[in-house]
Amino acid sequence: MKTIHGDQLRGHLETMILASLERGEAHGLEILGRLETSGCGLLRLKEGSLYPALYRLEAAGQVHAVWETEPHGRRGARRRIYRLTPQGKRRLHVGRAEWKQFAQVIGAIVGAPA
Amino acid sequence: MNEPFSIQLKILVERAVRPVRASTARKMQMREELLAHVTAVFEDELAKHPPEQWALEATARRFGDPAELTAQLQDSLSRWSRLNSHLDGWWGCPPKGLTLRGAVHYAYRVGATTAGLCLLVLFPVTLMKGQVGIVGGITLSAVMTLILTFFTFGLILVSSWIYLAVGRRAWLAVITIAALAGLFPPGLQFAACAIISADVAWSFNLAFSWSSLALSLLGMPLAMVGLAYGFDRELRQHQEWENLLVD
Repeated sequence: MKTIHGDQLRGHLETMILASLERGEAHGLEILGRLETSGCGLLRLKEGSLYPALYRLEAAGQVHAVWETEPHGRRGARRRIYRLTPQGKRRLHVGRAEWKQFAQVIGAIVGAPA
Repeated sequence: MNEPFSIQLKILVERAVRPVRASTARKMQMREELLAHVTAVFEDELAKHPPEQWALEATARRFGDPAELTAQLQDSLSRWSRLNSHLDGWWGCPPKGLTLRGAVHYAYRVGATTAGLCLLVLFPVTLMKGQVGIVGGITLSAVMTLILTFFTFGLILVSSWIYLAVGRRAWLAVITIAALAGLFPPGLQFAACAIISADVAWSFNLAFSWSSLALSLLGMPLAMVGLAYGFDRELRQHQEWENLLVD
């Protein structure tokens, strides 16, 4: 199967991040790991692009971020840990419904029902 | 990690973050978070495919095009963050640091803002209340502007002297400057009152009362040392990134 790149994810990245955070709080690299695992390794995202999406979600109150306090055996720059807010959970619910509708409509058009 | 490679990772981050129009604090937050990310990616790549140069190239590929990321970071800023970046440009730490030029830079901004506020708020209010005439209102606004401008100028300048003296471990100079700094607010108050009331004796007694002096002698040195270190920390962190050659 062909890999899915960033351009094809436009508009869905935020919902995917929210879905990954539904499994529990995580830092950026961990979120990417979850996305890759869920996408069976077929998802290829320019990793820097994750952070603007996280900042948008944070500004919208859909995720909450705190700087990590424990170094976890690491040195150097700190990571931020993101978690889903109740508003984010609601947005994820809406995002899933939108995706189902989108997949049904496009599937019907191209002759491959979802 | 080798020092040259840690600098290369910082440059990778800085290429994306430097052009973003955001407050210094916001950019520092982006820098730290993105640096933590690229460092972890670099270590991951290095473990899989040494040598370091290869790992660095792989990290850059995974990170993406910095110009594209700059645009995305810019778009991700909320309205408040955009407003904050303008405020930071106006009120933030003097770009020239704690120097005479820095003090002038900061003082003229405070003066301009105070003059604007006086013109828009204080002047109409005093006119509406009928307490003073047009000339009185203008005088009051001008005095307020001058007081705050000189106060800020003095605050930044004396803070820089204290900071430099602490850096040189010149404790006698620190004590002398701090003590003199404590006399600065009553001195300014005395000048302002004397100008407004034309009563020198009353102005002196008001400005140099024991309670006023004690508060000023205790509070001002502490405030100035705190301000000096606050600005210095912000400047050091910011300049460390700004000094990176990213082109």
